[in-house]
Amino acid sequence: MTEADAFRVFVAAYSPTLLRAALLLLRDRSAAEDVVQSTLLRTFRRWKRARDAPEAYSQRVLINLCHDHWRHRRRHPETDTLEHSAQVPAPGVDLTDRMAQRQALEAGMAGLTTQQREVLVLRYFLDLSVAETAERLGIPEGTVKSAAHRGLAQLRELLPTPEKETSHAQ
Amino acid sequence: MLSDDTLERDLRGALHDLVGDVDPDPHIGDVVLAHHARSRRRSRAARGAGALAAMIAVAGLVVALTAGQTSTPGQAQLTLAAFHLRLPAHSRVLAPGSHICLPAIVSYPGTSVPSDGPTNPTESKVVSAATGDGGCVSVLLTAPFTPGSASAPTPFNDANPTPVTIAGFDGTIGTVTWQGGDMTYDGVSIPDGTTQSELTLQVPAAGGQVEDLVFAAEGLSRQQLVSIVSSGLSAPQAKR
Repeated sequence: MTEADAFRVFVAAYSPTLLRAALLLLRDRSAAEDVVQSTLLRTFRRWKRARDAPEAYSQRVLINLCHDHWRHRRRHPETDTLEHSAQVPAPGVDLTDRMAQRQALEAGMAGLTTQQREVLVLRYFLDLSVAETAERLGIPEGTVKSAAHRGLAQLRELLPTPEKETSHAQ
Repeated sequence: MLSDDTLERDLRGALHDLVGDVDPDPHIGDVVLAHHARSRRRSRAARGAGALAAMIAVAGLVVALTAGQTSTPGQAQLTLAAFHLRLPAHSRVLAPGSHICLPAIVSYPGTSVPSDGPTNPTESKVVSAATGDGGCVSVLLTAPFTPGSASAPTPFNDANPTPVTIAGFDGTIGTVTWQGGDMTYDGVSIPDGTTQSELTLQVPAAGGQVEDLVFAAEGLSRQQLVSIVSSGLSAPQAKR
């Protein structure tokens, strides 16, 4: 199998995960697609180094590019083109409604700090361990744990509880 | 109150549910490989003169991208100051700072590449779009300058420029190659040897000065770039 063939196999298998992770991190479909394409290009440029663990390599590149994106946004806030503008639901809104729940989660993710959002996406979407998350983000494991704890606490109210589901079913 | 384990499990499910229906372009692997092949081919042909030239790729983006620009396939348009470039069908305006299309490259004698953001007083503006066939177009407008003065931008390593006249403006189309080593500018990777077709039109500015309106393209031939600009450029102050 040539390098290009091996890369194609990797892209077919893993590019959906990269795009979805980028979308969760950036909350902008267009930006996520651009970042993923750049990620794949850089991964292939270093394929000899990346081929043993292309998922991990591409995760690191993706995170670096997301950091670049955020840095640019901070410098040029007027060019922010977020597609999603979900609002935090008012108290008492029935979150068992699927759409409302999705919007609430989007809003909840948007309300997290960048580090909390990164940690939650890496830990619970990419299913990385605490140690892997710390390595990808270049932060101590303790910071990963505390960011995950705080992020989860912030999202706790936005996820359905068994009681809510029960009352909705009645 | 949900336990932490339940919360973590529910969050996993909710995150996958939130983006589970999002899929990339099925041809993204081939697009990336084609882009890589072009870059390598051109970089080998272009090494040599890079260290001699100071270059700045300025990306001071102050452009409002309207919703219509980003979401209407086939009718996308790049807008920079009073200039509008209607793009070919299936083109897509790229978010600032996240595009893979390189900023247009313009050299300014006596300046160097800034390490963190635009610092040059002759700050330019640039917008980019991806075309449906995998190409990429950037439009850059330089700050006003006096032709022939020390501050006038000069095309970098322009090989075989050909005179053109579009929308009443005179200019040239040529090939531009970055030879200053791999770099990242404002989040955009610029590998050494990156080559673009570049069409430069000189447009009048206030006070007898002029500006360079630069159209740079990757993955498109010179002829394709000329065709796109000829058919899509709308410039209210064009010479008649």
